[in-house]
Amino acid sequence: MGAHRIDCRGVSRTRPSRDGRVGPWAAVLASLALAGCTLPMPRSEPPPQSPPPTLPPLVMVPEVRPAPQPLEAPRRERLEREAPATTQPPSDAAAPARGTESPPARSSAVETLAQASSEAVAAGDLRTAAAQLERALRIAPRDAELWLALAKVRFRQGDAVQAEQMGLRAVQLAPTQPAVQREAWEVIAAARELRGDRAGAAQAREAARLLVRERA
Amino acid sequence: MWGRVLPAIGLFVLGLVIVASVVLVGVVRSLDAEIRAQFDGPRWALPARVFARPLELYVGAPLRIEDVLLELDLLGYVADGAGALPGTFHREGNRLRLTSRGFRFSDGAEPSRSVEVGFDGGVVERLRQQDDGRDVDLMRIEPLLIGSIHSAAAEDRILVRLEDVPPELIAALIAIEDRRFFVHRGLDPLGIARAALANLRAGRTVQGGSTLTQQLVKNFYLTHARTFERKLAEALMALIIEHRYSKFEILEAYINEVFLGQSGRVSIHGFGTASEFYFRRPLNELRLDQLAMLVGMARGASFYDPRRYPQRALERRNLVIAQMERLGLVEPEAAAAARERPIEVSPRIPRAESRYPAFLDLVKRQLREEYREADLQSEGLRIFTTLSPVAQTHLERQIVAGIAQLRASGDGRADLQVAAVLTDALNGEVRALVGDADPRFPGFNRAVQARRPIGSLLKPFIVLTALSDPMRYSLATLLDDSPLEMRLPNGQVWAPQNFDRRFRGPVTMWEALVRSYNVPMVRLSESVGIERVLRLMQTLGLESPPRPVPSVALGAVDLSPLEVAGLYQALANGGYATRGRVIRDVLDANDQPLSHYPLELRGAVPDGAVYLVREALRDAVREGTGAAIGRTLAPGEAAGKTGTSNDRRDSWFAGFDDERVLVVWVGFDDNRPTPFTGASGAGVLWGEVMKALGAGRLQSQVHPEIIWARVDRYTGLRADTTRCPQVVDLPFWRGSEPQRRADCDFPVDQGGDGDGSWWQRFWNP
Repeated sequence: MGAHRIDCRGVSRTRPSRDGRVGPWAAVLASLALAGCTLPMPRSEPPPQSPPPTLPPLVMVPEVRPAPQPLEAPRRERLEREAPATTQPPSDAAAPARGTESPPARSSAVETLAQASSEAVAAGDLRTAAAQLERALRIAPRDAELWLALAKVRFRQGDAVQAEQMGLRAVQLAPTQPAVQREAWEVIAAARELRGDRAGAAQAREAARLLVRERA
Repeated sequence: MWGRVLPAIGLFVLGLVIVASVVLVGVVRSLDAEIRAQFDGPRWALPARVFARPLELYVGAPLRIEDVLLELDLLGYVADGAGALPGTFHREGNRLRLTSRGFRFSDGAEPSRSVEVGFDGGVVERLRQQDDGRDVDLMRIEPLLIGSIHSAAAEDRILVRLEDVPPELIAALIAIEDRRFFVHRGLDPLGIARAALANLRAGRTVQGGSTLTQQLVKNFYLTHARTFERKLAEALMALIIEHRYSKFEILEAYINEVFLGQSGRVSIHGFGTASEFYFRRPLNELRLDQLAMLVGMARGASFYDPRRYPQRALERRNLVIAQMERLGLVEPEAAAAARERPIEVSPRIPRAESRYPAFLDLVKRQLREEYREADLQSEGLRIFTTLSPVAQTHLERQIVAGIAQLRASGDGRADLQVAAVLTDALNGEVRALVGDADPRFPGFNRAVQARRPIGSLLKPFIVLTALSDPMRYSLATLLDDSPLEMRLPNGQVWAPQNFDRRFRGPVTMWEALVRSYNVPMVRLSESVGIERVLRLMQTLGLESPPRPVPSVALGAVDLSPLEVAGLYQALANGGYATRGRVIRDVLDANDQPLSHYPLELRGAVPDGAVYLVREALRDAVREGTGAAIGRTLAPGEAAGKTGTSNDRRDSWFAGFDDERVLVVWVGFDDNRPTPFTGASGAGVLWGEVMKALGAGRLQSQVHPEIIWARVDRYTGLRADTTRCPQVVDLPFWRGSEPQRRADCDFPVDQGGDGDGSWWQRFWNP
């Protein structure tokens, strides 16, 4: 587990272990959903013991807090919904087209830390690299690229569980950044391979592949 | 005859001399060994130091200028009109000039920086170096020391190196204690003579003849017996030390060893410690008069205690200054100016205890899982925690004021108690903790140790379990609010009641959560299966689940506020369970890393379901049981749940905004009923705390699989027009939104939606 003594108690020993295996149906559905079809969720499954982030990428648009302007955004959205409805079903009103918004610009503080982290990785100092990224994540907790970078560091440190979790987090936070998502799925695939989850790794690679095709 | 006696006498004397020499050599060697053991080994048992999180400054940081000033004040910064020296600041309107003190963190040294910070609203909008105006990306202000972990011997020591000691201090020390320190060999007969004369003249002891070396020996090695043998041993040891170690090493040891005060059971040793203890500032920031005062206390810390005997301390200080002037060690003007200043020391803060006992208690619990008590007390570990002194201050102020009001609101409430936990919404770090209505009191830590029934706080997790199955349940799903009787496993019949003992018929799941109805929730819990709800909560961090009996649905589960915060963390965090962290790093005395407590994620529940629950909880604050809070903060800018347990024995509120999760509990220690509901007790405090923190922003998020639809409140069916009188916008998994339109949505002359209208008339007579 690298140079640091982690308090693993709560995470790996008392929780039921996740094997991340999901049936073939879910894999098909995952691919379809990724391709843009609006299929409903599988029905009547009891919530799994460690409910699977392997379901279709469930993403939220990040709202990093920069200067005061974003205050207007929520209200504008609410006004749209409050407007008298037409005969059109309201279901399409709120969902934006994918890929139209870009994430807010990074602050220079985050840039500096991310840069320092890359240099540490290059120098083989993974502990410092992780520390820099953790510090950056305190500043910009919804920055998908930071989560991706930390996932990679964890992978290099041999922590496959966290590499996968953080990769999934990166996917979740980057709906408008398919390149980031693709790379994240690749890290997830590698992490799953490391843990011996062949099926899960295959799904992740498939998810990455679909993203490449989507962009093309 | 003399020819025989003289040689005999000579032999005898020779024999005596030989024996004496042998004895002397033996004594010297044993003393020498003792000295070396002390000097060359680890010299002192150093307590562990516990630090809060460092305040990070960068453009875009969500900080108010008042909060930065609060942090600087806690750190002992001084407003000196310029802000160019370490530990000083200067405010002009929305701009702040300050110079941080350098600090060694686990990831390297942070230099001292002189910067200018500009604020706009609650955000840092400019950060520049003072000297050349260049932008600064990111900097950390040194972290606040929030506590120390001492051994039973309880000596407190902040070590200083000789090169970091202000020269005025050394000058003062030499001047008043041992003028010929750099010249003598350990003992100073001239000094003894001079002191004897001065003492005779004054009629009492005003000067000591001991050298600094002798005083070091006295403090370091021997107990306080003042026998002749002791004095002899002392003298010998002084000579040995001078022989073995340089003047600088001896001086440094003295500066770090001299006893300078007492705080309860903890003794204050060394000028570094005394500087913090009396002035709340590091040694290198003290003025001449302050240094002189400390030096004056070396002769008798209790006798010259500035807090108890300020006049004595003043006279002694001025004596030191006068002596320095007489010896030409300070300019007359500077000396005069220093003598003019009054004695000003900070109020006493007990050293053995922390300002923040509840938080420190939590830190110690976590440390004891990994470190032995002995190591914690004596190895000089440095522990970096997640506490935000600013958040803690706001939390304490509002809790103290709020609980005082609740206590005064009626009879029999004087012993009402409270606990509160504040964590970062996204990484689960504990930012502030209160375990008692008196936050300074280091007793029972209710935030961690008091496990109480959580009542309605559990309901969001039943809803979360249900909504993880979107083909069966949505927020518009109707639940039956009608009399219910259940046979329990033990044979008893249980008839749960709503808060107002009324029944409303079919209600949407949304309304049942927002208004916190009991009976529909019990039905929902039975429908999804209480075991599944408990399993979900275990994934979120619930450590010891209760037996899956039906009353669990109404929160017959005992949890501490900290555990509740952990559960609500996942709701705030998009479905990821993050382990509540209190410690970030532990370093040893040489700044080498020992432990790192990393940021960890645990994917727990699909974030779509969390999204739905989050929006319902937002509505709970806007118009549901938490509506009072919705009036304190901006409406719709926080999400949360009231919790009232059986007979109102516990009043809870748990909720969050974009940045923070806050849980407040109010109740009596002896478990008797309170007059408060979750809303009227804990909820009130919750709103006040969030407001004081400048909180209250819960941004709307967009999720590609979630759509919003307008529904009729009573039937949960779609309302596409404005005809239905009571409508609400609800989020749904795409495809799970209601397909049928409500009856009220159609024009009056149209019969309705075919079959749908018959159903609706059946349910809504």
